[in-house]
Amino acid sequence: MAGIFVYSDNVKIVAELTAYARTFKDTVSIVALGEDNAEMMRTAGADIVYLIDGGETIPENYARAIAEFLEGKCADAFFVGATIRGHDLAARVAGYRRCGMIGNAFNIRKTGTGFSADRMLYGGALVQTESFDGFGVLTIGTGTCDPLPPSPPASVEEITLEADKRAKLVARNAIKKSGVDLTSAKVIVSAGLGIEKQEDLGLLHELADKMDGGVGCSRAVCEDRGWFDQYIGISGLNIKPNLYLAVAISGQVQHMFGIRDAKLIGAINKTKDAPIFKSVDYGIIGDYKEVVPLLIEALR
Amino acid sequence: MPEKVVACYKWVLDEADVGFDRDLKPDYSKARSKISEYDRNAIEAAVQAAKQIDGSISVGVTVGFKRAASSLKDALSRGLEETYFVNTGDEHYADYRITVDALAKGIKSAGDVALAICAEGSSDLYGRQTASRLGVVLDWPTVTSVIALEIDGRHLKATRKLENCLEVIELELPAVLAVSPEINDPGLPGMRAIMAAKKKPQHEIPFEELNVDTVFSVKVTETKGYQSDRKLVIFENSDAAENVRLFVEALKKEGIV
Repeated sequence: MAGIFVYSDNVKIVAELTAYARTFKDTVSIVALGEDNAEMMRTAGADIVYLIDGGETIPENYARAIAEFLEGKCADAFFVGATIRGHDLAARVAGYRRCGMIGNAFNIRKTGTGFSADRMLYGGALVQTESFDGFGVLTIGTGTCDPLPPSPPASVEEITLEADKRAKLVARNAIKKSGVDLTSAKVIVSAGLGIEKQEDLGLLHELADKMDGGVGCSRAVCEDRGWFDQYIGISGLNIKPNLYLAVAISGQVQHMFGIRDAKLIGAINKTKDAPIFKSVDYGIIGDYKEVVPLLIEALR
Repeated sequence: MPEKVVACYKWVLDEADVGFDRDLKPDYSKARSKISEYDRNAIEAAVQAAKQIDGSISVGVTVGFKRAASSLKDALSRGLEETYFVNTGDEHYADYRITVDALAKGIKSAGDVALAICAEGSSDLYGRQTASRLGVVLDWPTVTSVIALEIDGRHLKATRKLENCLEVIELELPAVLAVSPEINDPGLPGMRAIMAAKKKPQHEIPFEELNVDTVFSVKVTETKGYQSDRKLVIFENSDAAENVRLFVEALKKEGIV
């Protein structure tokens, strides 16, 4: 069965990628790990769900077997959710197939001989159109396409694949996250290096609360100051809120990459020449210690 | 010959200096070059890992066209003991299959290698492919997104950070790792390290000698400036309260508040 094969370790992304793959008028197959996941994916709109039966708990360890499976099925393309695990698995499959891969792809098109897609370079300064002929792999982020309405359940076919057992999982512990899940937050207020002291984060939390939002930060605030356990940027979270409000963030390109899909970008910064003001919808030039309390008051 | 811990790094244009003109044509003319930010973490991780493997030294391997030679002293000043530079001359093989094939052969040129450490991505392309593909080509177990590692003899324990969980992975060397920026703080090399770097061995490997297949796996059809379609409305009155009033009014019109 040729066509597009879809994989993600995130069920929500599988539904989005399946809907997206459907737009190419191709046969769409889902590759799933775990019976529960496969069951949830049956109504996503695919023609068939292939359930990997092998007992391995690290999906990447199936990369060689998945590459061979896709070759056996004459797959045209492998769409993979652009999660950390997804990037890893996708690149391994591309490595085993020795084929092209386009990471964080958008504007995907069929070319007749393969696929083409756009992706960002230089922290989002440039956009590049790339293509491959024959089979290839694309990683695709969240929000590319709305999931389809639930379809009649697709059939599930179990496939036995052999895992590479050299890397062994000895522990998996959930990260306890405080506050709002930024990947699904509608409003994010974010702290930059211009925030003078940790106590000032209270102001940002108060402001975020007024808009039912969450608080995030730039990389330096997370890594240099240790005030947060995750950050927003090219190597951190990529977020898509309705409003991203950057407070005392200069706007380095790596950071801007992570917020480029926000519906609206706002900024508060006392430095008029801060790069972030070149990429905002609405900005206030001013000291956050004066502006944020006024904003909180105005939103009461 | 001592066993090696390899840091794979890339000499890149500084993304902050890359721009484009009115016709969206990329402008690299003002761009300085540097060791990719994330690769500095990989170099530091290799330097630290070599201390955990008896008798090993840390070395750098880079693939790039001739101007990447400028990176070698910087890499050595960051604690690496030797560099292996796969020089592609005037050719720029910006293709992961080609680069990884050359990188793997460059690593083998370094002798017995216990560990190859990459960053998750480079600050120019951030394709997140190199480590995973390298593990395939070398046929070594691979762990990505590593934030901590411990090595005991031939046994490696890596902690990797995913979106919602931490995983502890164990494997036997040799292996490939991709490290996340939070694994360490590479800092800046001191004057003593910069001076010492001048005396460290630099090995150059002509790309042609490696017999790498140079057929691109991905074709680039266009590269252009990314034009943000933001509204660029800036409130800069001397009265902060007025700025806030206008800002809130704008958010109300947008349906945010």
